[in-house]
Amino acid sequence: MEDGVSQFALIFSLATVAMLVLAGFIILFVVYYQKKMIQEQLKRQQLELDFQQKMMEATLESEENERRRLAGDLHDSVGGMLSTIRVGLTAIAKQLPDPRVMEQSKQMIDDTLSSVRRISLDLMPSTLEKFGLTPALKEICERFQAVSQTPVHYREEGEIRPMAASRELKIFRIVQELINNAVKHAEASAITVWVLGGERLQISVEDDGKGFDPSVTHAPSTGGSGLGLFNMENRARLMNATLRFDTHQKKGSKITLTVNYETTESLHR
Amino acid sequence: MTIDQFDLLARIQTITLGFVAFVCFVRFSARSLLVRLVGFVFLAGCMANLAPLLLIRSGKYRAFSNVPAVFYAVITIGLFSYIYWVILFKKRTIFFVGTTAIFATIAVINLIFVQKTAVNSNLYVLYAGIIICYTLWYFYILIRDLPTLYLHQMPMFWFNSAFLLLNAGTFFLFSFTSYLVNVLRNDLIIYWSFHNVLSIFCYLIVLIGLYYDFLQLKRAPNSSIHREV
Repeated sequence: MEDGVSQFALIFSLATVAMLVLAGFIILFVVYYQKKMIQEQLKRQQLELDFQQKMMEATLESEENERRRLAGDLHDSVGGMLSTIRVGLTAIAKQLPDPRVMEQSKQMIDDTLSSVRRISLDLMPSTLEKFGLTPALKEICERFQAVSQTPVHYREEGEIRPMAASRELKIFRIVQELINNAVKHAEASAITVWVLGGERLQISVEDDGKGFDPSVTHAPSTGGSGLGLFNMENRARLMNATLRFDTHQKKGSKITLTVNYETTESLHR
Repeated sequence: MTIDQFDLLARIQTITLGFVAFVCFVRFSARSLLVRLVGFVFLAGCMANLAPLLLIRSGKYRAFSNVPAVFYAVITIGLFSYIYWVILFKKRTIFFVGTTAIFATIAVINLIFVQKTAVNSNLYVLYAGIIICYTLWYFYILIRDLPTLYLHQMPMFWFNSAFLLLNAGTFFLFSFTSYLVNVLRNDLIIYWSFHNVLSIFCYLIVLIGLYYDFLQLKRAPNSSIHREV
């Protein structure tokens, strides 16, 4: 009888311990499973993020390709034809008793030609492809100054190292948009583009205009007026760069783009 | 196991219960509803441990030995139902209220007609069974909803683990206690002491949860989010 009781007590104790172990196992399982599921979720989010980034990159690339094609067509085809027409007009004018009657038409063709060249340059800056970022930035400042009659100063400091063409194009587009915004909306009397080299590339576009509130421009209620800003931010994100809006200035605004130089490996890639 | 050793263990368990309740109530207004409710559960446990002493002193222990336990079980099952009702998104109200009501009815019937002064095992088995179901339900919700990246920083995770462990042990222990004591004439003190040791271990787990709750309190002293469960 005594043996039977002890045996029962032993079995009972073991069963209780087994129950406790089972409870412990459930707790560990919850911890393990939860961790695994969270990791899976993070991985999925990362994949989605990568996919979105690639999509964005592809969209921007196709946009640039389209611009390049349009710029080429405008310059070579329309520009070429206009030049031919101008030559024809000059030949016709020589046969006329008074060649000056054609002067107005020739002038109009000259204006159209320069417009076509400007649009073509805006669409795809050949200077960027041929000479790199800084000459292209300098040139765009000059062009904006010529078109808007607002002084656009270009200041450069430090060593500015070359970067991958796609990266330089993105920087160029951001600066182009920033100057364009300053010219269009800021009512500034002067715009200055600062390009600072060093450990990182820093480009600031500063104006003395009426300034703006980036949070308002970002707001959905603006109905897409912040599209340029959105595109700039997308381009910056794709380069792992930052766009800082300095809105605490006494007058005007200052927007700074900070880009890290790529490693040699990524530059080659 | 001597009666003195058993007494010492019971005292340690009571002090631990009181300490956990105290920790739950420190900075009462800043604590979340969940922690406050857990504090009341432990306070009820502490009172239930002290009540038999009062009954012994007044000489009424033999007649009313199970009454404090029944009160404790009914009150805490109500508190547990409320805790799990809150953390399980305040849904299935009827289920939680019904469970509490049915449990209270069974507890009273068991006290009056079945286990009047004998070991109150039926009540504890049912009690533990209900709490096990609640804790497993909460773990299921944790796995389903993945509410946080760091599970160990959630106080409720620790509380729930402690409740599961304690009640898993209690469930099995009391399923056979009545048979062991009444039929095989085995010593109840051994099993009750085992229950006490297990309880102290689980209270320590609850203290880990309270430690994380304090950390959260420190990080966001005035946060309204913290007040949410």
